[in-house]
Amino acid sequence: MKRRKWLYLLGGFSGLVGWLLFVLACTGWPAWSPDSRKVLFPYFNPDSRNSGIALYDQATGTVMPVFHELTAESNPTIPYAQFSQDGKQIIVALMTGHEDMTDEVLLLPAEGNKSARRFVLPESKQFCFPPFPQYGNDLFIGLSYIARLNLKTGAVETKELSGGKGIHLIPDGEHVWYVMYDLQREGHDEDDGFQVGELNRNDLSLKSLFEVWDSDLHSRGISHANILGFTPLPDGSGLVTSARVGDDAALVFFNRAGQDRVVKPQLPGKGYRLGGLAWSADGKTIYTTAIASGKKEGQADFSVAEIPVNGGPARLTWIARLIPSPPRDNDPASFDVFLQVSLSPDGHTLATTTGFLDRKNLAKEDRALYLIDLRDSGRKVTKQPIPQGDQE
Amino acid sequence: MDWMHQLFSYVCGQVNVWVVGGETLPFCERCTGLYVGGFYAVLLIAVFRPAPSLRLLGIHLVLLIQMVPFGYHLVPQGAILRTVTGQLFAIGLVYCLSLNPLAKLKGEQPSFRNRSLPYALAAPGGLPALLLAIQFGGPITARVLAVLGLAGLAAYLVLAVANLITLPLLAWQLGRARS
Repeated sequence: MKRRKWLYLLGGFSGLVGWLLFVLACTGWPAWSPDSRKVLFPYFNPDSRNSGIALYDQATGTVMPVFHELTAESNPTIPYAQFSQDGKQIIVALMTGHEDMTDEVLLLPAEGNKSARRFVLPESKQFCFPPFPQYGNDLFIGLSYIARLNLKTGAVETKELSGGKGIHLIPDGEHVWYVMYDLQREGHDEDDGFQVGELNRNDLSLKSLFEVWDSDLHSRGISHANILGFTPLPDGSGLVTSARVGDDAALVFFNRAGQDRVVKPQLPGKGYRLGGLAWSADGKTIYTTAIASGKKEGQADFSVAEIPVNGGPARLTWIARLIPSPPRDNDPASFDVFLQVSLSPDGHTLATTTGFLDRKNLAKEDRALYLIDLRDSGRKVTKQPIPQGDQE
Repeated sequence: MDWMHQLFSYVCGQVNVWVVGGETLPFCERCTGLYVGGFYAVLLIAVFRPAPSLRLLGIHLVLLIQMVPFGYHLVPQGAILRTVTGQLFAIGLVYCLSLNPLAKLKGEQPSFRNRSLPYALAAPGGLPALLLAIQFGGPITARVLAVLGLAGLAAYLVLAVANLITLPLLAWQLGRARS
């Protein structure tokens, strides 16, 4: 009987300590695990006030944050990320958009517990979005200046802009397009404009190809062009972006001399607003995010559209119900331009995310990464919710 | 299931989570094994009452210790392995925590039925059952798993409280007998 009591004591004590350690490990200690096929996406959790980058592992079907930080509940800083060229590192850009706060780029290991690197950039009021051009060890970032970061040595070179308030850099094979926006020119005091050209990666100089002013666009019936949505054409001959012609969604194509043509997609109704663009693997279809008014007032339907470039009806895949914010700075597309779509390198899966949207813009359970299976004729959508906690 | 997510956030990081039929479970993959598996382990103990023995305790302690390399990520692992190790841990945990309270309920003379073999055979059966439910279940399965996990958590709490009350008394008795 005495021996049995010792068993009870040992068992009970082991159980209590074991459970306590398990709970502590699950809630409080960091964890990394090796991954194979992954998707990075930004997220913001209004409950925990954490914004960060999450990694969806297709092999295991799980989502985990690779980076997160405590942020303000209103106007939180949303990080953006991409894999390095060799896939071994994760590049995270932390753009505050505040003049009195520094911007940062973090270089995190994609696998294993290796050290991270932190690059501090000069202050800027501008934002930038991936993909960031990377060539070897050089990473290029466009804000209110152009920065070249040497990911190996940590050296940061910057070049101030002349004639514009901000710049977007768009990688296209071996060369980099740029779109410099908010141009300041004499004679255009009441007119907004942007300049398109090419970046010299060696000396960070800009070669202008053409300038477009709002007055030019309006004279051609284009009421708005999405500055953040420029995407290279598959043959490298120019760029395309989403736009609006009156109340209709449109795609505006530019060649090296300027505006080339406007395509009005055959969408099932009026009032659609398109966001970021991505080309299909065969270059015949443009994928984009599309927002239209919902059935109820104040609601909007967020879909991903597949637009045949040579004509024909667009196909819509419904994603989530949103509550659009009032337009900012008279910009009618201030909400939808942040919704991006990305095609997997194998061309089989489209990804888009609502994970970073504000609490007032969508229901908590809809804050997620959405994957669309393009091989499925029914376009099966898989939803991967944002991380609920910060660590396993 | 919002309140369940909130409740489990006190005992689980909720990062690597299963999505069953489009519904996110309120606990991580490892805790799915621990809490849903915990409920199953309580049923096993209640039905089979395995005899307390040093050998059986040793086996269950091994099930607890296997969590060290897996829980602290000393070995690579995916979602399924996380759940399986959580469930094995649950079997060990429930056995250890229920030894003393069950003995108290049945008095000093053990009335455990010696059914260790059927217990040993039934225990691994929960592993494929849970994985199949996760893999092929719909939204209703997700809710059922969440409720079973809640029942498992409740069982752990009851057993932990029972042990916290009875173990000091037992330790005192053994100490006094020794002196």
